[in-house]
Amino acid sequence: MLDFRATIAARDFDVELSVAQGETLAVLGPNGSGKSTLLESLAGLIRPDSGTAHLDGEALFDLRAGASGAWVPAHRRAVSLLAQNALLFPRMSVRDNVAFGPQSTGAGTRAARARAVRWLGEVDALEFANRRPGQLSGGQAQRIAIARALAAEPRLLLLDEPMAALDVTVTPALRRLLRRVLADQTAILVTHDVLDAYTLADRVAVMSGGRIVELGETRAVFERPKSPFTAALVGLNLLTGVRTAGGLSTDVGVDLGAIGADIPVGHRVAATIPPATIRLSAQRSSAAGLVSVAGQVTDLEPRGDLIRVGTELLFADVAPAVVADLDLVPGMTVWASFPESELRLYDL
Amino acid sequence: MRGAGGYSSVPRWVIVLAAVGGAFVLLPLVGIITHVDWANFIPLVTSSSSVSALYLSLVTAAASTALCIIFGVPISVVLARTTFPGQGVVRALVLLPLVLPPVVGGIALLYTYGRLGLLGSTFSFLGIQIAFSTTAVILAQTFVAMPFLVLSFEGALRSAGTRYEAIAATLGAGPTTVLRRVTLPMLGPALISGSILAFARALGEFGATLTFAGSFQGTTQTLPLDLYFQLENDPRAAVALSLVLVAVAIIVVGFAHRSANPELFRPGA
Repeated sequence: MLDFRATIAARDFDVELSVAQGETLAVLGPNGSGKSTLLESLAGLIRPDSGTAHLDGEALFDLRAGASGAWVPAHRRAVSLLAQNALLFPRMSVRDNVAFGPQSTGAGTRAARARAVRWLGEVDALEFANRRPGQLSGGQAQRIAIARALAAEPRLLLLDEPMAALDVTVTPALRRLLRRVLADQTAILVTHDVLDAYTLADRVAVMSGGRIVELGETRAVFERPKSPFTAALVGLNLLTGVRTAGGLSTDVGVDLGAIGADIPVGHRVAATIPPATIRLSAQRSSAAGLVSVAGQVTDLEPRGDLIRVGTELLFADVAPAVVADLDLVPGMTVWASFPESELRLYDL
Repeated sequence: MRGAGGYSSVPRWVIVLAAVGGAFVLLPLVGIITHVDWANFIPLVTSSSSVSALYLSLVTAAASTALCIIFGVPISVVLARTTFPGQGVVRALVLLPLVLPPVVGGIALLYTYGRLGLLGSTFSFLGIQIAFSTTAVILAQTFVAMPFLVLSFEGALRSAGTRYEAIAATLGAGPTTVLRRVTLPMLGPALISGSILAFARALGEFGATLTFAGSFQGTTQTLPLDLYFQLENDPRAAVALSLVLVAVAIIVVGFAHRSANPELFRPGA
């Protein structure tokens, strides 16, 4: 069980969060939003200006004004950090790397080696025990780094984009391994990958500008995004505004009509629209049940076998033939229409 | 000159200047070799004064290299891994012997540890007389050689960064364990090449040694001092001894180069 609250003025960082025993919290956010600062202050690598942190009832730091100023150094926290790069100690064998944690915390050489062998087995890497880190591939090295972090028996495991530096062909196996070892481990996972959050995390925190802007169950956060960053991450159009009688008045000044939902007039609301359900046309579509909005095309970007067409208000994923038929170029005005049933409206 | 494949754009005049500079360094070696009295080479370099000077040189240079490591490594770690007010000034002062004329260093040592120096009365009270002893030779050599080790090892520490050390700390390793098991092993090659540079500088020490320790055969007369005084008595012996020092220097430089680039020498690399 982790309770954390800290502020760092120089980095405009102000975060409060808690992680339950055995829970994995995924932290997402744009670069510079404070994710690394969060991990570094939990690991004891940087010192916040103020705040408190308790792990399993014991203080990691207590820097409140007037408090005793308790500060537990990194090596006495039982908080392990798994970084983007494996960072295996180059002059030690794989087994000695994994035995490093137990040995440093007082286990005898024999006991530490036994623990290393057990954890190497756990990550399916026993065959590499006698190798040097230089003889491993990136995926193998990261496997060993996971074993090394877990062999230290941390009360809290911090993972800083553990799969970002790896080839996409090895990430599925590593993700499966992480799901297994994180099952009962209290952990915080920083990631850019929605799939990582879905498969590994119980809850998600979205950070922006040194603050947590969204926090909740993974599916709830991703299905009802409240910030543009989260919406972009899960690939949804997000409109925010005020509920009107039978419609939505968006913050950018466009009114959408004919939207049924059980939300009283005047409430702050958000609406999501999947980009694949949006049709583009040169003229306004008059079909029943369709919501239509006009806007200028801002950009065109290939995505797989579709083309993502950005307009002022919405982006749409359409077939290349549509782009060719409409002769779309940035600056051109186009009508975007979608079935009312595809719009999901919820309170902000 | 063409490299082993790939574009090379070295102008001709640079190559000409490089050749002139190279000749300037190498010709004096030829000058020594052509004046060596080869017929009497062995007796000249095995005279009792030369052998005792060479022995004294090797022992004192080894001792001062050990002192350089014992104190130079902590200095490097403190300079590279901590921040404190006035750090820039401290670094400049530690590296001062690098640019100081060695004779000035010798005078400074004399007025610190000598009989009339700053700490002289303390040492005489304890019955210790440092100036003009073998200890003085070692101190003089350490004084001039330490910056070589600090300069190269601090640079290596900085370029290695602290990422491995941070990971080691989160695995439960205290600062001493991190230094002993992570930092020093990773920087072993840099430490060896820094030590070899310090050893070479200590071996060639002349000015500070002569000023602070004098030139007494068997106790303070190292090989460079011996051959300087031989130059007046017996130039043939001086030339022969010079060649011995050149050989030692070449061996030392070879080792330093090799340990600075260990990957070039690893089998299969």
